[in-house]
Amino acid sequence: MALLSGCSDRQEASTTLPTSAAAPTTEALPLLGPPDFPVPPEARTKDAAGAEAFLRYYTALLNRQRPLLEGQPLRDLGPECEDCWRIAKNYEEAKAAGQHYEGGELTMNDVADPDLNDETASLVFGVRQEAVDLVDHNGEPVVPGLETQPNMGSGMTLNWSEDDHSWLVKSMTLG
Amino acid sequence: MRARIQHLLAITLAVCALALFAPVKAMACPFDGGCSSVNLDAGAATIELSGEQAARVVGVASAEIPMFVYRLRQQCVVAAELTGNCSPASIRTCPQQPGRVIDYFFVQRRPVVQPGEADVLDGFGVGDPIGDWENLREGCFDITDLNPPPSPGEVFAYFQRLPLPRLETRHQPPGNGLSGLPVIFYTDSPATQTFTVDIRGFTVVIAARAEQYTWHTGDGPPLVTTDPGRPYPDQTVEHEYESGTHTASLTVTWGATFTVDGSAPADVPGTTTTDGPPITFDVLEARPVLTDPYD
Repeated sequence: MALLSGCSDRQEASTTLPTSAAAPTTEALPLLGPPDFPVPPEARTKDAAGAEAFLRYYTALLNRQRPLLEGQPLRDLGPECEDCWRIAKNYEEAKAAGQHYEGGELTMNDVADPDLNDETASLVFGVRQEAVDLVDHNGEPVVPGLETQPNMGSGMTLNWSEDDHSWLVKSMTLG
Repeated sequence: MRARIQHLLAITLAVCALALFAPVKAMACPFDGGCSSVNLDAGAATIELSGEQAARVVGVASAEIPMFVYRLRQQCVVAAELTGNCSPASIRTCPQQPGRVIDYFFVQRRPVVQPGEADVLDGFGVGDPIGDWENLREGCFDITDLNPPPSPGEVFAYFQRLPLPRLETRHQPPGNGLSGLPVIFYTDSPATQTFTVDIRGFTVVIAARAEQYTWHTGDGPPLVTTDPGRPYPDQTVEHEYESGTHTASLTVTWGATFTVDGSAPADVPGTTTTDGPPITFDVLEARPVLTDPYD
């Protein structure tokens, strides 16, 4: 709250620059996500557009983390999300075993209008998953791979986090 | 349309039943998504369920059946997916009834496209499952009608009742021991045994193996080893006694793996023990005696 004082009161000249009392801007939001791939400002608004932007960001994050085989960012942004933890564990176990993924990129096909309910957003979407193999260091598949899934019926439930000023994944279903 | 919905329901429940009862290690999908078709193509355990069965087992109103697909999840499975482990704290027990399969489940449901909603998402039609799984309820459910393969916990209950061998204790020197000379213990009884049992029509092969040997010396704390010991001169288990009469025995801790109708082996989630027959022997005090070698 800004306080106003009467003009008749004598005041010493300030020697410092004034600080902004305006509401925090997106630039002031604390960093969330990998430092070089943070959650974008448009995904940190508590509305339908923000929820959809977060969905698209998280899908891109999956595509980013898969070749890196690092799962922690997926857990950080989905602390309650079982499937996020499962995928994160998959990546890390593959890394520990000297394996890696070939293919598997996700591409958003269509997103239905998000259903917002207080602190929660439910999203229904179709996503394409390219053919994918989990291979060892010789390039040999370690499990039967998957053919391209052209349009997987999918869903994501988001919770709004006031602390993070962002959506976080509560649960996710791919296909 | 109803037939299609029931088919979808059957597939979903079949996939989920696979997840429920398959060994934890083999269950997790190694890819981001789309694993359902893999499991189905693999021809693994398939349990079909009609809409009416779903209504009866899951306990939802029949009117809701066409609106959702349902699945049952064990907390153990959920925990394994999250952390890679299924801790005992994740296992919830339910009152059991003879001949029934009752276990604790989370019931989840997922919407399917309804008539009039066909344009909600490009490429999906009425009856297609879309959206996210949501928890509906949790509790004990009787799934006998689904005829699931035996769960690890059910196999463990059988394992505990198997006539596992009681390993005999061998000792050296044979007969009486001598104070100051350690007594060597070992067992040459088989350390593995395979049992084939029928559990609700499923052929379950349980391969038991001795995992730990606890040697009760009868004179001090027991000796615990993971090997069965060996006779002289390669002994690994020995104990030095005071003179007197002593009784020793061997307790073996058994672990096991199991297969169901030729599936990949999985660990039985627990161990059991057998006590071998005791042996009694004397340990004599050696007394030096001077003798005349020319006498």
